[in-house]
Amino acid sequence: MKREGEGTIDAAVLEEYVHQVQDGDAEAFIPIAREYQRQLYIYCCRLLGSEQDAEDAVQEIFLKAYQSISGYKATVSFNAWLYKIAYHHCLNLLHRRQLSEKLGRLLKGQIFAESAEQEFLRGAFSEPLSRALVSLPAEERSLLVLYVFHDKTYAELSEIIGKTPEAVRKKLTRIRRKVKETMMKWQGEEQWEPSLIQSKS
Amino acid sequence: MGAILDPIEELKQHSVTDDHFREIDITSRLKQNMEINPYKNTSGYRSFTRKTVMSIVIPCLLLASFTAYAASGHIQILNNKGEVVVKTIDPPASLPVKLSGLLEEYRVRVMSKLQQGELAAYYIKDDYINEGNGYDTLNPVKFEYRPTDYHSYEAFQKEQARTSAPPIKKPDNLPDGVKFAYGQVFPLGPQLYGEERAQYDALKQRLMHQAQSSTSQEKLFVEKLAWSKASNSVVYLSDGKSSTAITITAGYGKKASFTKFPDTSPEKVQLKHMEGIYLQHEANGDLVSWYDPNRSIVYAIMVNVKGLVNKDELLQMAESLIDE
Repeated sequence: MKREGEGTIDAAVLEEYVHQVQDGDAEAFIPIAREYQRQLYIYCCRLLGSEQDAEDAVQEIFLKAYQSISGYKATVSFNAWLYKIAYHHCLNLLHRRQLSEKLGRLLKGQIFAESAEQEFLRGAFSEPLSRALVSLPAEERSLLVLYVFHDKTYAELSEIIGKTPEAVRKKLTRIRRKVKETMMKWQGEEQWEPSLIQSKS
Repeated sequence: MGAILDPIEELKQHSVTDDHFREIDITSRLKQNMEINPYKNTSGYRSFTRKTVMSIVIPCLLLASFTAYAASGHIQILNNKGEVVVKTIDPPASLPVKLSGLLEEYRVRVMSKLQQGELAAYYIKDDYINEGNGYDTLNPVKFEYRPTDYHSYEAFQKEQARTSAPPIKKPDNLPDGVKFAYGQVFPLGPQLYGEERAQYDALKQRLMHQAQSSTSQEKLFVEKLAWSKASNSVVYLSDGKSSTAITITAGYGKKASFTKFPDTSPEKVQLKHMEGIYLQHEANGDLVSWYDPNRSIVYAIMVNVKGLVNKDELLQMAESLIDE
């Protein structure tokens, strides 16, 4: 069977890989990971605001997906099933951040390579949108990011968050109204130009 | 009259496109983790063909597990939920000399305004620093702290308790001539996430407003901050010549990263019931680090004087800091 890189596997081939993994062929999970790693990474970056956290999260999400793949049934799309794991994993991380008072780092030096300043991914969003997103509860932020930036449909979102498509539509309408109001407060106060995010090789 | 923009498209204009995000490939790390945490079904279990994967023994009391992603030479420790808690990373990209030089000048100026134990936030009114350098990983609000040096372990311990700092026991198994020099605690600053984000935003607003309404040539705007809780503790050990011959650090957090320089190989090591990372480095000094999952504290010991302790001595020192 042809093993291809990201973004090139069609749905039937993907389902076949899933069956192979469920039958015990661990190696068949790797092309699945390769197919989804970038889009999940970008989702995690937008949500977690840190390249390092996002990269770790993607690995953790795939490990969870691999360990629970026996629970996947083709009644939902694999895409929605995987994003459900990613959604809950990122929510868990965001909630832990919010509950924890342990993230401030002022100790400079070799050991703590990731200071709070370095973790904050400026440039991914404009200031008004960044402020609006941060003011949302984590669940609402995640839903909006999936809808706006990852082109998820109401049907897919309903699979991911476990609500009906109509409930998803209403929720998104409320969230978008909130975001628009917050953005209007900040818009015009700062000009934003998209800038390159520092990349690592 | 201009075209009315679709609301979704309007929001997309407030974000960078997907092209701005770098490429990643987590598949080699994932393969290693899948070996340790296999999927099992009733019809049997087949794993990858073992290539250069390290053989990993998992004791029943282990709270963290180790994996090595051999292709990159890096190591990471996972906790029992499969989450990364300690890892090595490539050296971060250096800031341009001009930028790092400027930042250091301002940092020194802020430090000169601080007494021991004082924390300050500052904003630099400089377009090059804030916008034009092409490095987007620096926040406009920066922080500096002048630590108090506690020269008796008892005084240091008292301060750790007062500020709820991550505890560092008085180390045993010290080489001859090595002894406690002084300890410091470092404050928890305003958080960028959650409920405390509003405090950070208000601080940023104040500083930037001050800067914008200032008519002087001054570019540095500083605000001292009250603090009561610590996020890090540091102990310095002296060898009789250098008062910072060995550094022991403890920090609250869910993870830490250590720079692995080229041509160095991190190793997993056993420290009582925990696993840790040992890094040997000629120029930067040897390091051992471990994660205490019960208290969410990352510990590290760094040897700053070449040849002062060997690997076994360093690991014994580490074990003396770990409670059974």
